[in-house]
Amino acid sequence: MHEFAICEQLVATVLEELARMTPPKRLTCVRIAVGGMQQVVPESMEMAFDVLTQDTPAEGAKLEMRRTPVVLDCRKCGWHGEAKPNLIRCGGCSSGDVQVVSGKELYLESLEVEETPNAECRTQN
Amino acid sequence: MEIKVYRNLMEVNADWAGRTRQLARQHGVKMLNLIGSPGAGKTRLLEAMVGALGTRFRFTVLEGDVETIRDAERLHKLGIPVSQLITGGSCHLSAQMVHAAYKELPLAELDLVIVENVGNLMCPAAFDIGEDAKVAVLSVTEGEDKPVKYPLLFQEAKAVVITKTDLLPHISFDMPACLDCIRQVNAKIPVFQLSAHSGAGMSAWIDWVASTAAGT
Ligand SMILES: Nc1nc2c(ncn2[C@@H]2O[C@H](COP(=O)(O)OP(=O)(O)OP(=O)(O)O)[C@@H](O)[C@H]2O)c(=O)[nH]1
Ligand SMILES: [Mg+2]
Ligand SMILES: [Zn+2]
Repeated sequence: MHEFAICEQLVATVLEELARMTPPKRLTCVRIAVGGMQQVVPESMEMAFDVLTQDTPAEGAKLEMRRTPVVLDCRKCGWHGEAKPNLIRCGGCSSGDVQVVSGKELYLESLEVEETPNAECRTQN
Repeated sequence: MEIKVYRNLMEVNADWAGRTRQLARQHGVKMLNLIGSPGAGKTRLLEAMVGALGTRFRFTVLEGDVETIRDAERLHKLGIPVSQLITGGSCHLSAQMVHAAYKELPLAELDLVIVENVGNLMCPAAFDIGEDAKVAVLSVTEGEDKPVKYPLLFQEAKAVVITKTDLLPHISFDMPACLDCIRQVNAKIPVFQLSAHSGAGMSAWIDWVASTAAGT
């Protein structure tokens, strides 16, 4: 259940980004990218996200998770490409002497926001 | 309207891990992070390492547990300096948690810090705690296919310890198949097959730990 810990960081980051927006916006969706090697259960992430955003400006927003591919660089033959599931081997020469260039990442990609109804009032004041 | 942001969600954790590494560099202390299922034999392995390591290195153990301090007490009995980290329900040690304990250690008097992470094959693998090497601890009672089921750990690890080999005659564990699974996700990783009970295979493992502690 490290989804909860990841989500704590996610929510803190989202709230930081929201607080920076002038005029304030209403958050509708949060999109994250999760590397193919990270074992993160979407349902657990969503549940943690819902719990952690309660009573915050992010409450009610949807969480969308995009899986990003595991990409390898072969040190033997120079091949560069996507790994087969659970196989960290070169797709060209089958060597195990490869570098995982991506697939372990976890990041916030984008926020979907709407203008708040009273945003204009606030900027005028 | 979509607003693009690019924020690493592991940044805070990486920051804390960085602070620990900085302290470690200042004092020339290395860190191992032992990760394995509950009951894989991590504490037992540490107990078995005491005799062999004790004279070669000055080391201490940080014990990560969800609740009890039993593992720390076991090690304390053997005279190993040990600090207990209670995660209070969390399934892994965070870099911040480790740093809080790490900075209190008598670093000037140490060569090596061994962290026993919370019993779990999945979550601790995702968190850098400032270690020099993660070590995957797998027992022969767990099944050969664990490495492909939890590839991140076996990818991240710098060594694998397969424990409880004294039980091999009594169970059906296909060692070659297990080694194959490990090699599928990490072709070059060293694997140590050992029994903490009989002592078989311990010396090769101790040599690896020693060379890691020496930074070679
Ligand atoms: N036969 C045999 N049993 C072992 C060996 N190593 C550990 N055990 C037994 O396995 C059980 C669990 O060992 P621990 O060392 O407590 O396991 P752990 O990985 O520290 O467990 P947690 O801290 O709960 O995650 C104990 O009953 C040990 O005696 C071994 O080499 N051979
Ligand atoms: Mg233990
Ligand atoms: Zn290749």
